[in-house]
Amino acid sequence: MSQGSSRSLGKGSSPPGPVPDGIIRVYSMRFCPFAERTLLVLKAKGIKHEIININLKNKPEWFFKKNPFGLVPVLETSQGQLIYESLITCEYLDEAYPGKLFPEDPYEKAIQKLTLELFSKVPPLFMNILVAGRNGEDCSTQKTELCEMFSSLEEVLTRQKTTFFGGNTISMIDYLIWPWFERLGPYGIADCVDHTLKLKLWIAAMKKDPTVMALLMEEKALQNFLHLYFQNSLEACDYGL
Amino acid sequence: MSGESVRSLGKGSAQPGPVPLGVIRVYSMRFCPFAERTRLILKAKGIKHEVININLKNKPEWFFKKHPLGLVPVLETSKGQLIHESSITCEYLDEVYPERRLFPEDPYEKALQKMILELFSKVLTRQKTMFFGGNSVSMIDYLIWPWFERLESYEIADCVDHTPALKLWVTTMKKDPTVEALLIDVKTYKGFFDLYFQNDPAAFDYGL
Repeated sequence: MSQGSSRSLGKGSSPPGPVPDGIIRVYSMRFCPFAERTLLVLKAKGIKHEIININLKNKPEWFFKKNPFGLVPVLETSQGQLIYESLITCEYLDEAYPGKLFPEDPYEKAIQKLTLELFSKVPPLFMNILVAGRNGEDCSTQKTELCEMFSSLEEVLTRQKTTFFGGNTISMIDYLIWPWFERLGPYGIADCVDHTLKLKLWIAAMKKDPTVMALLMEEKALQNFLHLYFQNSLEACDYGL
Repeated sequence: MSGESVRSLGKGSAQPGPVPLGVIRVYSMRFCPFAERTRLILKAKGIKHEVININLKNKPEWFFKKHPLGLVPVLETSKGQLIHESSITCEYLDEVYPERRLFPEDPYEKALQKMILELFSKVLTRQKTMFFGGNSVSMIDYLIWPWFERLESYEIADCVDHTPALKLWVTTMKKDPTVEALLIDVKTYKGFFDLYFQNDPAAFDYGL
């Protein structure tokens, strides 16, 4: 019942009705890396869900009742419970549904969260580089910082001697950081992983994971979305539909 | 359960030995609000622990093996496992020591507490109960308490004047046995701050 390719809802749209029993709803946007985390977890755990895409350049008024910050992703249950903040949505899904993506061992789980902390500077850096690029500003400082971040992640893989960040099989931490690595090409920073061989191997291994493959976006589509998004086009979020 | 008033360890100090079985160790600093979160949880859950205070203006070289940036709090288990980041340490403790669960069992209620933590400063209008998690003290109350404890010493206690519900929460929290046990008086905080802003390494052992 996934409507990942449905047109986004914008200002003036009617609020959707309640969520049917047996299903969970996610408010999303097709190109948002934070929302992609939640979609990856829903898919990986085989959770029955419906997707409502939001036009982030033209937000419906009713959406602020779902999340006062007006951001995606947001989960809504059939009881009308609302959960937002991408990491919190992923943790919620892991606890509420069977088939744990986080390790059972509390220490191993804490280590995954620490790796996520290590990664936390990456999304704002990506954004800075993108904006600088569009404004024709120099972003070599940010790129250097990004490369340093990637080196830290490389060290984790080297120390652990594992293919994935949580061991030799894919787990929560891999899905949580993946969306940014998926965007290296479209953001024009694919060279930032040139010196991190294990990270490059991890990227290749991720691309073979069935869940990742199911949600993998075309580079050109991402590039065109970014182009429209930075022009504040109301059509950006529906590019390709 | 030693060492809540133990002098901090600084440069040149000997690295502490391994953590004994049956105990968990926290590297802390008496006046650090982030480390206080972890100590609140350890106390509230009755976890056998030892505290090693670190002189944050004169860090021991060995401490960087416990945390790459030499920050507190850090937990160390008897297996030598290290966990840092205050909220991660608190969640870890709640999971490893199941007696007196502080986070709610229900995944949605737990998610709600985490969202509230995110909204720390914007939470006031949501509060309809005595504590942030319901009618008894729970994880979210301990996670935000350390900053309110310091309101008076920062001389901004009037921040809660126009938020009577929050003021009431502060008063009620002061009566909680766990909070009471760790409470540091205003005079001691002021003494610490005076020395701290003069970059005096003796700050961390003020009052001992």
